[in-house]
Amino acid sequence: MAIANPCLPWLALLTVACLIWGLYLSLFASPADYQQSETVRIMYVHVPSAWMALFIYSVMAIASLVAVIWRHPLAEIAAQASAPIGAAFTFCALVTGSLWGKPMWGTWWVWDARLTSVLILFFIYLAHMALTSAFDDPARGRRAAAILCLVGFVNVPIIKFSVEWWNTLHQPASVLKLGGPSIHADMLWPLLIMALAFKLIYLCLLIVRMRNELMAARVRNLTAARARG
Amino acid sequence: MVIATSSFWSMGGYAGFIWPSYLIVGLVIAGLLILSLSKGRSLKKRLALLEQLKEKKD
Amino acid sequence: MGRKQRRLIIIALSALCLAAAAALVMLAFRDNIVFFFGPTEIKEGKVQPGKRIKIGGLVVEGSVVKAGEKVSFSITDGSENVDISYVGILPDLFREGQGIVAEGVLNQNLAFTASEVLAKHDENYMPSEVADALKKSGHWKEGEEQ
Repeated sequence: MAIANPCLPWLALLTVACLIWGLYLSLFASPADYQQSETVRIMYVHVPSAWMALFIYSVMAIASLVAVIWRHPLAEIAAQASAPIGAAFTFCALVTGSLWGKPMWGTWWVWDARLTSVLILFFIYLAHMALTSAFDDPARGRRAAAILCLVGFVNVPIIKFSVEWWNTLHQPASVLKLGGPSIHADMLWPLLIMALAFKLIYLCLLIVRMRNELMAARVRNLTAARARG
Repeated sequence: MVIATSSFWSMGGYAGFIWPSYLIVGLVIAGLLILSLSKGRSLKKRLALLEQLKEKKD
Repeated sequence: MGRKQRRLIIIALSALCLAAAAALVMLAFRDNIVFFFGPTEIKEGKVQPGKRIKIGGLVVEGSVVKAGEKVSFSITDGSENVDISYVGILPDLFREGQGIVAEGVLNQNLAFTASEVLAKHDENYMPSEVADALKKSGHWKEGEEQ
């Protein structure tokens, strides 16, 4: 954290620059799709949100593993600070997907394997947040949440491969697949820049939220010390 | 300017789906950022106060 | 054995059990989580007529007949075809050659009456100009097995 704090303003600057560039590419400097026409632009926020939903959960799972085995306090705090960010991105992925699905598929929502497993991920995030704050002793709450996070990790490969294992309405992967992406470079670039911007947003939010948790822990300690006399 | 043209804002008839998508993502992320920053500020104040009290006692 | 190692082993073992359980559950559900049936499965009699189901396939080129709100078309999976009739608004992605999923009822002579038609999008994204150029030069969907 000692290195992270002085970096934060520069990181924030980089994030804003990357976001502006990504928005420019995705809203102005990219072509309409041959099938979906302009609605392809929803993909530039939908897909990065969905990637972040999975990425943040994976980070939390690694942090939880480190927390449970080595009892590293910073790992527990990283997992706790990540959960609301992951929930926010999952929510964004669900809502933007719905807004794309209505005009293109003809429905806001279907219960196919991909959509359902992402909804489950959203609920796991919410459960993680609830469990963290459910105990009077914050250390016990974090431990319980870490176990939930590790158990819930089975859902991550299910989400990733759901479009291949089952007949889903949701289309298969376009970027991360064998044989190279089936997406034109003019559309791949805005997608990748937006994905980078979202990663940077996560990093900034994570630093701010971890700093908050560390301060909250010190406030708790000082308050407890005062109560003792 | 490109922005001035109404064809940009109408998004080929899909304006009602594209703009809400960007708006919702923007609001959710901005909301989380504002919430986190304001919590940080209030914690900082609280911590400064507690540390001041501690120093007085010592 | 240290406490850390013990925790590591316990976690590894539980992860293994969990993965095995998940794999078994998925194997068991393999046929039940299917979002839709294909024309071949319909013709093979895997679906009872009269039951509400979803079927999916590619819209056969030249099969779409529109009369006001009434639409009839066939879908195919390459080997078998199923005729579908539908009354209502079609999604924007609906066109000949496009994958669709329809929900409705199969009748005795294996024709399908749909109450809802959803368009399935494929994983290909390209600008309209590029698609037109590909079609013109005859390289359209080259190397794709059908």
